[in-house]
Amino acid sequence: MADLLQQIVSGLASGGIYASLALALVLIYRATRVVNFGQGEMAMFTTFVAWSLANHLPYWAAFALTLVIAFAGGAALELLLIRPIRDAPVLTVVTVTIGVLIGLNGLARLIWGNEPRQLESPFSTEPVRIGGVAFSLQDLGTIAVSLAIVAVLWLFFQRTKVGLGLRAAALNPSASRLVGVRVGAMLALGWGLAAVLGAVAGLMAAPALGSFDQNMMQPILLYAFAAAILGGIDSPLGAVVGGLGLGVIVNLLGTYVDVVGAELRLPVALLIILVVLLVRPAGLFGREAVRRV
Amino acid sequence: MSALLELRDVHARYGAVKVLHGVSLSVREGEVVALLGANGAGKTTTLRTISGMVKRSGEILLAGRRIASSPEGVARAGVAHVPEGRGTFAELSVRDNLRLGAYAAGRNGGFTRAYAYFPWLEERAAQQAGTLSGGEQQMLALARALMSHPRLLLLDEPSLGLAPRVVRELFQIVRRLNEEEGLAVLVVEQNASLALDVATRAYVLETGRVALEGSSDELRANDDVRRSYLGY
Ligand SMILES: Nc1ncnc2c1ncn2[C@@H]1O[C@H](COP(=O)(O)OP(=O)(O)OP(=O)(O)O)[C@@H](O)[C@H]1O
Ligand SMILES: [Mg+2]
Repeated sequence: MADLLQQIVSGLASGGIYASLALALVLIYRATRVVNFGQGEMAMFTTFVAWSLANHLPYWAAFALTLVIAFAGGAALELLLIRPIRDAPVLTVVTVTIGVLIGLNGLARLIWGNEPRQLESPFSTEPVRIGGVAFSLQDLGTIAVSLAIVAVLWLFFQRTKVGLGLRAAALNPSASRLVGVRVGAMLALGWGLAAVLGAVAGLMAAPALGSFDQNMMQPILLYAFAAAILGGIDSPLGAVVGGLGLGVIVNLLGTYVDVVGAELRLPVALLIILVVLLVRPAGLFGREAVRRV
Repeated sequence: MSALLELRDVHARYGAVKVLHGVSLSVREGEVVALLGANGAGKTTTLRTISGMVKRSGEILLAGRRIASSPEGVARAGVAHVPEGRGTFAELSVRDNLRLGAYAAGRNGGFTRAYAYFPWLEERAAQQAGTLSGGEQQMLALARALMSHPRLLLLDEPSLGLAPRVVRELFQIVRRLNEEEGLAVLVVEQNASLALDVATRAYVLETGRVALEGSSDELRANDDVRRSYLGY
């Protein structure tokens, strides 16, 4: 029983990372109607930035500064690469996001070289005992940070005027412009926020991985894709629930089902998603908008 | 009274397709003006051009000054545009739709005014806007427009697809807004007799040109207008 609880918490920790990155995918999907294949490498790049900063700054200062840089970088990508092709077919835009993937991976190798790096965890590796069960403080911290960023974003979207403008711009650009929403600015803002979410995912993933290199986010991006699709690609709630759920399921399968082990986790996860999608093609929380004429 | 909105020889095109060929019209302070015309005459394009959504040449003045060239700028200058199809944010709540109406305005108090004209909206503030009936959505669109305290309201075919009773109710509210608040309105309508009832003046658009203009009474008495748009 204690072991099960530990495994669930540990699954939630990876799940929080998948959820953050899945939410980033959903944000961009809603705003730009494309799946951003560059999302993982954006996260990886900002993790390297954090690593450089952490050599000179206390961890949380480096963390905060990294999020600011990530925001600016994400917005800049939208302005420089996506905006010029905003009227192009979806496939063109997707191709550009793949270009972002390759470009950032190469750039990161150029800047930081090929050897693996370590980013210290902000949380002690000491276990904490809660009701007789030992939990890893790092797992709990990862869950807390992921949930905190999701909660802050949710409040921003629901409670602030700019958040409302972002939602509106994604749903109905032309009607949004008529009420005075600067749709172009909202797109850049959306990319910036997605990059921030990705940065959080990368920063939480790096210590969990032990050491990281330029390919660190690639398996995580696959899980995030899976989580986003499981939740419903245009549902932020779906991305969060999908990410957390996937983290737990994958961890439990890997631990308790011998044939799955470490190797088969990803294929099994994809299989589960396939089954869900057969039953609910729009994903768990994705639904066709209710509309009457 | 001075002109609140004035179009002088306005041309507009979609890509290579020219749609407006020199439209001149005006709306004075506190006036309701109807824009009539057959399908494809360019009525919607005229409103979209005023709102800066279509490439144009010629002059558009708002209260004597050149109007902004972007929809955001026009909205901020106090023009509320209820587009063809109502522009409802179907996935958002009624309340969020109304909040969006106030997006361009630096002023508060929109909710009080919107709820004064449409009391039922208050009880249904949390409802998803897409689940409202067509008539309710048109009312919501009007309420959303009120949220920004506009000086000019652009209304595109508010009666489209609605039951006659709902349409009468809607036009009654437009009339009240004009009489009680002095709101100036430029309304595009297929239902000419209804539009002429509420408007003081009207323009008839034919293939991107103003073919006729006059007071509502003059146009009602015009044989061509009677045959083409009033159907008797
Ligand atoms: N986005 C567009 N691209 C190209 N042509 C367009 C576009 N929108 C409208 N048109 C053309 O412009 C002309 C005028 O259209 P508009 O929608 O302004 O007419 P309307 O008077 O509002 O007609 P209706 O009564 O049917 O709403 C039509 O010939 C139409 O086909
Ligand atoms: Mg029209």
